[in-house]
Amino acid sequence: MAHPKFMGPRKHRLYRGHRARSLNITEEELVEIRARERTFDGAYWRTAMKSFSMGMIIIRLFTKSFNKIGIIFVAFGMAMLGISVLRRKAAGDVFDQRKPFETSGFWVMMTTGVTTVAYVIMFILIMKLS
Amino acid sequence: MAETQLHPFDAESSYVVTNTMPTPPSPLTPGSITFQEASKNKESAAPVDSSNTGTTSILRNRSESKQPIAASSSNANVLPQSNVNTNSNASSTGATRSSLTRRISGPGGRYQTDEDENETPRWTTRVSNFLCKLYSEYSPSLTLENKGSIARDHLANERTYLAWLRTSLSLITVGVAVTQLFRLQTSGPDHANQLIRVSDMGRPLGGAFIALGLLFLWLGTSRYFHNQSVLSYGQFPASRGSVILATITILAILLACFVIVLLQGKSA
Repeated sequence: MAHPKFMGPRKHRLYRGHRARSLNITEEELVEIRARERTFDGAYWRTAMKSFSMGMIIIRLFTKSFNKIGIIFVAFGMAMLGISVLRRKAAGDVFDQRKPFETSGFWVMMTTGVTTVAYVIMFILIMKLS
Repeated sequence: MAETQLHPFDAESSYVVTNTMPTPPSPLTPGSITFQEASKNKESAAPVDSSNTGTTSILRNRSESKQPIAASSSNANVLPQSNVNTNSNASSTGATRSSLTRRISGPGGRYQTDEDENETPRWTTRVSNFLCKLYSEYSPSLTLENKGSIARDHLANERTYLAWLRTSLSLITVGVAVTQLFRLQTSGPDHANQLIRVSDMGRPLGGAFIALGLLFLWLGTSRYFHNQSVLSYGQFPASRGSVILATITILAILLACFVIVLLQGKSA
């Protein structure tokens, strides 16, 4: 049970003039919602979780000199999780198609920048191994 | 503006926005793949009238952020952006001082005067204004009219980019694992009469895998932006060169691994 402070505005939010409990979702909206779930719950979280698990494996299983690389993996996973949360917030409205849709070029640039930095650090760390 | 009172998404209302794109007379012949240089001369070839071409109208492009292109001829799509623009420009265009209704601090506050307009705003406001302007000028995102399957197409594009990202991530993982594996077997017979010391090949191989991951990441990114720019013209670029390049590089690095493992087996 969430705190009412956090439940408050969402409880009274109106979708197409209905509250969430009495809303009949049409087929088109369902398709849109599924597309968003595939993207934000599927693709983004999978990327973050893959990075997390690899970091865990590297830290636990590999030798001590690889610890820094594992930490980089975990940090990259956390960054991807944050980006996915922000991207989801910026994803726009399913129920009102009069609002314009904004493509995710900005977020792709962010992700590419973060990933490039992580890769370059990993490359340097691997090349510095004695 | 009378159309806005009727909500187009109520099922009972007289007209419902049909969720289908108008089928365009496509400029493409069905089998051909065209790679338009859309990203280079976007301004010159920007589709303004979307009713003829059947493509998406770009509402806010990078260079046209001040004046968004008017919506297409479909009357159902009343864009909120135009309302916002008229509201924000109302004070600067025709409003005299007596007709100013903007209060500074909520209801009961004093009205805005000329002094307030000339006064320099607080630094937080200036920073946020600057960031907003920067975003609207340089953001690579497009703002599109949300109709039909446009949102879904661009989300699918994003998913493909993330799949490329995951491929590159697994390449990086393989590189780290290869480095570790080759480091494990440093102790062995002496490498006196040997062409290469196999235990030294771990780091170059891992570095090559990481470089390959970087290459894959940038392939995915360039593919994404090419696709984003071309999708608003109603076309889809089939990725061919990037797939060939990825295949060749992966084959090369797998062959290198194979050769190194063979040399190791021969020396042991």
